[in-house]
Amino acid sequence: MKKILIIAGCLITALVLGAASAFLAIKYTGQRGWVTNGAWRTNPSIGSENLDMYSKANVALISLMSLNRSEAVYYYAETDDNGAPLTAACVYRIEGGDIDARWWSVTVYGSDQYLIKNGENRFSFNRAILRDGRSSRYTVRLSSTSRIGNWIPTGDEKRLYLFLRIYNPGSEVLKNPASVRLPRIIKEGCR
Amino acid sequence: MKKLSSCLLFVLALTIVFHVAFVYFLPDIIMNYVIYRIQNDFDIPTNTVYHNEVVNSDTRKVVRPCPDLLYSGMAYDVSERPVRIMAPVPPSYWSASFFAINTDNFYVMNDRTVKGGYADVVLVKKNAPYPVPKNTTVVVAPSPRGVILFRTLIDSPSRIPLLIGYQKKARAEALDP
Repeated sequence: MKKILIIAGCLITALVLGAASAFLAIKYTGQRGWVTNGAWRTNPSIGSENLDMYSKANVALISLMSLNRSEAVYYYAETDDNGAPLTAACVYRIEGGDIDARWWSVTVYGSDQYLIKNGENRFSFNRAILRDGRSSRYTVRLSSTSRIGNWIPTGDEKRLYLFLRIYNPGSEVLKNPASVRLPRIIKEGCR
Repeated sequence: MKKLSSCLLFVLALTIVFHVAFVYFLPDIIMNYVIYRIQNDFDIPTNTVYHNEVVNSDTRKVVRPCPDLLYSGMAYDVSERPVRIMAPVPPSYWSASFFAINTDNFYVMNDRTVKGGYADVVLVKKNAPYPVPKNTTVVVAPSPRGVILFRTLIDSPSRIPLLIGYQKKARAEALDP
């Protein structure tokens, strides 16, 4: 009886240690290969079949069913250009121009990584924003209160996450993911 | 003391085995969970395309939904029979991406790569004889089960009804072996 208990104890300990070390390894080794571009981060290996098992597990956890790079490139931002976490307590100005791609869009998510409920049903902006104006550049504000011009409501979310999706990216995006011109995220003030 | 060392070595060896197994099989576990949810939570049978509505803040089934896309999807199973996937290509960015059970994106087609404005693909399992209906593209699935995801870009809100019309025409059917 004592022997069985010892073996069971060893098994449970090994299972817990194996699972915990696996998740830690996936989390930390999964950071390999990420590229930073201003406030934006991307992992060029997302969607690739040639990943080591840690990277593959990491991609399965955070970017399941992402398209490969020829089809789409994904960037995300959780800070402004100065590295401060994005929050609905502040107002941000997003500035940019066109991106070398067939289509792109920027979506704002709340703390729970879902779209933020708002009366305007406004969650994102995309390349069409350039069609509407005469300029090749745009400005969009993220704010919890109504703003003149282009704005996306942020509710009372403690944290905000931006996701930039670039479909059929051009060679500039594919070759220079760390230096291609992406939208700037500038904090204008906080309440 | 010797017993304690043996026990510790036993735990260490097992920990390494569990560690590798967790990391290696995690993508398969996640994909199996996705297929389980498609079949049970969404109540969609295997080899049947389901069509999601335009996403909004009430969409809570998948994290980070993209409001600029119309999503359709299906869980495939080609272990018994090949599956034919057919979809008209809309006048907007459109793609169908095929994922194996280990989450590998083994095949993708988009509105620019599909000839004639109509996607017609027969998905078959590895090393199996299969019928090839005329004018179809044969794709070999590295695993008998997996998921296909269709994305249609909403490039203008005014075109949503038109794009939904295209979206809902995507379908799949199991073929005779």
